Amino acid sequence: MLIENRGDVVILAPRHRVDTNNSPEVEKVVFENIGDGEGKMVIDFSQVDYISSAGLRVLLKTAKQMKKGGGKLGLCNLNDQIKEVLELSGFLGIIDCYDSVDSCLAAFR
Amino acid sequence: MSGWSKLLDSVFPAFEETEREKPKGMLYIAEETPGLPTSFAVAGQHAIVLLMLVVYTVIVGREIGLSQEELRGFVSMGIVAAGIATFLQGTTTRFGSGHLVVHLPTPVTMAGFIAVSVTFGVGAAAGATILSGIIVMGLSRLLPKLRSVFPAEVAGVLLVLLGLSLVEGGAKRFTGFSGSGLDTPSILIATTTLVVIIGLSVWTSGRLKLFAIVIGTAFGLIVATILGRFGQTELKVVTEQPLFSLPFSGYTLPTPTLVLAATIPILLIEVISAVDSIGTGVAIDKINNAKWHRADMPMIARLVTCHGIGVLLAGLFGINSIGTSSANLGLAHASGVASRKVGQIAGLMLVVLAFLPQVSTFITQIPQPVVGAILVYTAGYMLVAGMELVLSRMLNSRRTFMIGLGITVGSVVLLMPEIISGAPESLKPILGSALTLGTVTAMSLNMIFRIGIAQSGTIQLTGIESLAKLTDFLEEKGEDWGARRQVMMRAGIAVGEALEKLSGTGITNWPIVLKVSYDEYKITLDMDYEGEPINLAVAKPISLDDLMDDDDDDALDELVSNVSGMLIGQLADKVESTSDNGRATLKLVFDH
Repeated sequence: MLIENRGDVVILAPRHRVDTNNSPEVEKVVFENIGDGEGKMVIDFSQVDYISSAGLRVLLKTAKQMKKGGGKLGLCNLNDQIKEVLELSGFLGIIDCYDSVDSCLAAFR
Repeated sequence: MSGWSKLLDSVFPAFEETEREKPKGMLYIAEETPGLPTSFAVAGQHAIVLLMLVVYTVIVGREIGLSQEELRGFVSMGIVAAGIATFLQGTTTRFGSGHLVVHLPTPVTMAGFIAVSVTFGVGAAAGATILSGIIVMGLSRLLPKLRSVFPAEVAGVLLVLLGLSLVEGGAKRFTGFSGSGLDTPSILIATTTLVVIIGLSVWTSGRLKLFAIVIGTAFGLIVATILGRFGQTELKVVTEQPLFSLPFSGYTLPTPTLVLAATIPILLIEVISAVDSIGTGVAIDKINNAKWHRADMPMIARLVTCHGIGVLLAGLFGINSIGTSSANLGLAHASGVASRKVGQIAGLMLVVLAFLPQVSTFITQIPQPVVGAILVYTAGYMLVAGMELVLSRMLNSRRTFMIGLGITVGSVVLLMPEIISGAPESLKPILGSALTLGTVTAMSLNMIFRIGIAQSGTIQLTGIESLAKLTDFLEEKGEDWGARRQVMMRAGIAVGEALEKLSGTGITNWPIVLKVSYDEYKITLDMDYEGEPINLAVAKPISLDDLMDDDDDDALDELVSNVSGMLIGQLADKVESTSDNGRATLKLVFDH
């Protein structure tokens, strides 16, 4: 996973897949960078082909932590498969999604 | 049921209404009926567009040496045939598609009729056309069995070539190009027409959008009048015509004869034109249904039956054959009205208009730049409709070459018409048709590239780490079959969730054997494994919003399990979980 800091925003970019095989690893990296959930985090899916319900679990845990800490979370660059999964599962209603990292950062300002 | 009834049902099955969802942007779809004023106005728009394209019949009449008097009758009979076929298409009978599909003399058959008439006489062209009409009607019932020959990509190639075929005629008329340069007044007239049409189509809705082409034409006529390109000379030609006359007056119907050398090229063109009408059927079906995902073959069979009837009529009337109109298809899409009642009214209007020679003569006096603007506008629509069809399927190298070469071969004839100058005269109608060559190329390559492609595939999954391998397998199969990308994606998500659920609940022993089967109507995935049948029922509904404030991680795990089952149930059109003697099967079916 690629990790980047732009100002006070942490940008994480997982690669290939977020499923039951690697979701513990993804969760570990996310929570190493999330702190108490007070900050701002962008998860960039531009390098991700596939997400499963195991990946949704990680997103939900992350969203909970950010909400608890008063931080901001945004997802961006979702492909059709990821959008379909998030839409059907109702996750689009609880996590903000954007077309690009820049539009997400602009929304955070 | 009597024997005759049964026979009729088997050859020409009765009409059945299809379930549809109205797409965004459409005001009225097939089964809906606008109010009378709107119906007449829109039908009139279709009739006017068709009458403008009657120019193809005028070209044929002039090329085969008809006098002015004979030409009037020749054109009127063409309008009658088009009107009857258009009316019949809009009926909910076994001889109509039940759609707004307008028939008109097409450029596809124009060249063949001219070539045969010049070589063998009009009687031979008429005889060949009659025989072709009967054969096309007979072919209509076989088409559902030939769906693998006409997949979406072939239909898409056809539509792209249809659009491209309109470009030259449109551009020449648009620019007034005559070999010695462009004509500025033509460009001004055409640009005005096109700008008005596009402006009304894009930035207005309702009635203004409906009448975009008529209003654009009116503006084009105004500019043409100001520039001196429309006026007394054209109106004199109109007023010289009688107010009323029988359509066939002035034109003596030829006695049909059967000449083998004449029949073969016309028959081939008519079969290809029937293929063209499949693309029309697919396009009109898509226009009418937001949930379109495959060709409605019974409807298309009825559409082709009606097409055959139109061809038969044209042969009996001794005129160049008629086919389905891509220009009017584009109009239906652009105007948002695809009501079958409008089609019936348009058909009746055309038949009535055929008795009023001044009307049809006036329409054919509309300045060519205005006609050019309309052709350019509809060419654009057809091109995009074709591309959409082509790109709706997954591509691999086979399909890429099939589509690419089909369009390339068709385009060669459009871009280099001189390339067939050395061909035998009797073959020129075929070889000179971009539509024929391009479609036959795509169809042939489709059949060749199907060799070695099985309609099913099996993979053995040894553990949850096989998820990536599964995705690659499904991707490869989807490309081999040219499956719809959206459907394969849904299948991939669903089967991935099923594997994770099976792995998570521990009810299975690996390996799991997955078999995927494909036909044009559905994709079926069968997961066979040793263990218990999977339970996709939601144990206890959990609210996402509530979970956001909950500290309980067990609830999180339960949610994920619920989501998994929910995703499978929502994505698949049918789910069956069964077991027998210690082995379980999960079957997922996806409508294609």
